[in-house]
Amino acid sequence: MASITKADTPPIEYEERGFRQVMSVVHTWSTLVPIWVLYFVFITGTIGYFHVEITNWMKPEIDHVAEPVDDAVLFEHATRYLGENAAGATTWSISLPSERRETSFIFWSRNITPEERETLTPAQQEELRESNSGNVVLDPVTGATYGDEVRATGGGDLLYRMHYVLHYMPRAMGEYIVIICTILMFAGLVTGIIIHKKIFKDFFTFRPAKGQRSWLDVHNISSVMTLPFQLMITFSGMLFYLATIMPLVFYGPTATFGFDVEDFLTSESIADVNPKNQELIGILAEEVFGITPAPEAAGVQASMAPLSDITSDFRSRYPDAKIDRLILQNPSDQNAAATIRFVPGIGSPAIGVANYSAATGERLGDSAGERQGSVAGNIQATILSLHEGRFSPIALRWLYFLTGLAGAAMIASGAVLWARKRRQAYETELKRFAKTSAQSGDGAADPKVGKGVIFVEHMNVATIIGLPIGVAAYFLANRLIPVGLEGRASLEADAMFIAWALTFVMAVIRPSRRIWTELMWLACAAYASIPFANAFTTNRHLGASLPDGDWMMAGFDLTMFGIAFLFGLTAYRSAITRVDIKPQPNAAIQQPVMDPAQ
Amino acid sequence: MTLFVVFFLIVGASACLCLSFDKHYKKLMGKALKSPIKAKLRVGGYTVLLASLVTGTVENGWLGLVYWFGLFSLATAPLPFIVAYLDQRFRLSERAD
Repeated sequence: MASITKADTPPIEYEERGFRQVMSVVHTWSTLVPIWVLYFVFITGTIGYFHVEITNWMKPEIDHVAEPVDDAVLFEHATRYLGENAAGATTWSISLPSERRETSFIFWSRNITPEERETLTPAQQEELRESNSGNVVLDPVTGATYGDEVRATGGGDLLYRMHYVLHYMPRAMGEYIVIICTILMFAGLVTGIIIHKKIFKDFFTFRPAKGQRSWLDVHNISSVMTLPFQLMITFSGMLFYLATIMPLVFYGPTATFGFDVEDFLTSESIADVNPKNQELIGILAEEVFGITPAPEAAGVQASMAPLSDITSDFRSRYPDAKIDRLILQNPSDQNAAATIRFVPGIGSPAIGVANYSAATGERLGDSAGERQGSVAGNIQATILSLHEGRFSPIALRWLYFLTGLAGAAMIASGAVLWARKRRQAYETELKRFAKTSAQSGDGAADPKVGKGVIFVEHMNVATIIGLPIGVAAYFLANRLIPVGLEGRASLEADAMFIAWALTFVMAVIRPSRRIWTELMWLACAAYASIPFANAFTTNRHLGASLPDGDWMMAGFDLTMFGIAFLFGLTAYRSAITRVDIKPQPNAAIQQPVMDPAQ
Repeated sequence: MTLFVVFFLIVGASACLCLSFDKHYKKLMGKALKSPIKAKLRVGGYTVLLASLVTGTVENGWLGLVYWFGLFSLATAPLPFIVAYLDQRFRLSERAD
């Protein structure tokens, strides 16, 4: 029994290869090695553009707020609650409801003063901090707070987190894996542009039913049409980890000013770093971000100016800025300070800060007016804002979502293309070998393809379709796991990965010709069942959310139906195509012979 | 409203540019592309594309540029599949042969 081995393939002299061919090899391997991690990062990151909406859907106990609420009403409820429950805290933070988050998230904490740091033990300091900190979700209309009745869930935030720290591993390890994969992806994009000779000529080209050529066209379309997004998202992804990728460049200059990096990295909070570092951080915060330190508490009780007057004054100055939250330092003290954190928009610092005296309501300055931040800081903030779509209205968020999916399609088609190329090359080689061995009387050739190719094929289907099935399982688990169950948030994540792992088992045991269609039907069923699970377990189903104008809930359910429809349509088309192709068993042989090493 | 205008301008521009390629013109129109028409389609396509960019950025500034890239992807990505579908459905290129 003869079989094809790598040794039978004539070696290719590297000297014979042109620049584009070498880049082609770099493109193939720089993207193939991290391909499934990249797909995971792209899918979870793309979902992350709606992480707030997903979190809202995953906490159905929090009521829909139909009308926008006046700031004065919100602040009255919030300060009354904080006054009763957080009088000992030195910081109060009140988030303002928006079209994305209808409720207000308030939290409070206590700083340890220098005197307390000297007189109290670390355990006592920790206890003081713990007993004076907390958070709660507040209904801005009624002033009611949500507590244990809200189900514990990772929400959309967990999916969003997964795209940069992965899951089931230490944060640092996850980050390093994502960083390496991002660098390889960037190399893949650049080399992809170099090797695509007919980038303009093939711009509108799709050749259907042509095997791997069709996959190549899909790969080209999904990458070229969305290239600006792919370049931006990958480059800005690396920029997030500037300090990790280039630690000497980042930390080197800080040493000139006497900044102790080790102390900074090992301290639990900014309050714990050494005095020299505190001074330098203060300068950095003021010069780069326009954040001025809060004045020391005077220790004299004083009434506060109406907080809604402060936000009104801010809105009159910056009508387009979105207020994120209002932070009060030393509340009810003569030196109480109010800081408005806001998203100023593209081309400005990522987070704007406006300072007021909370006692008098007097404006003290801000980072968006006379303080614009450094040019380098603004460029970095703009690129990072572009990555996260911080300033994006809902329409732009959808565009981010769709181009993100196109990025996932680019990765998926690349993975499929690689496997198809290898399988086709093996089959062509095997048939040629069988012919020659039949002529020479050596016996028939072994019709098996390489184990690596089979592994990649299994991983492809289990990742490309299996991961969306896992995400559907995550949403279903949110509705099906009992609300009061201990550790339900981590169980939801477990459900996602278990479902995903099961698709890999299916990929191994089911025939490769059918598995794509079967998993797509499964994905269709899983996504279609999510709105039904919502309807059976909550009162926020489509029958209620649509008449109430609760688009947060209705939008999610309708999107699930939409995704189910797309999976169903693809499965149906894929089944039809398979039947159409079946009468042509030798179609593969008619394809041009590909270079296996390409 | 501006977004819809920008989107349809990009669709129009992409259609012109797509038709300015010999093979796509033959597939969609069922006849060979002549040089004067090719030049007109190309110039028209790029002009409309530029107009869409100006329309988007004048209204929305830098954010308009971000919108434009997103809308460009959304408008152009389905075009190759539509061309392939129309070619399979009507077989105009075969009639041209």
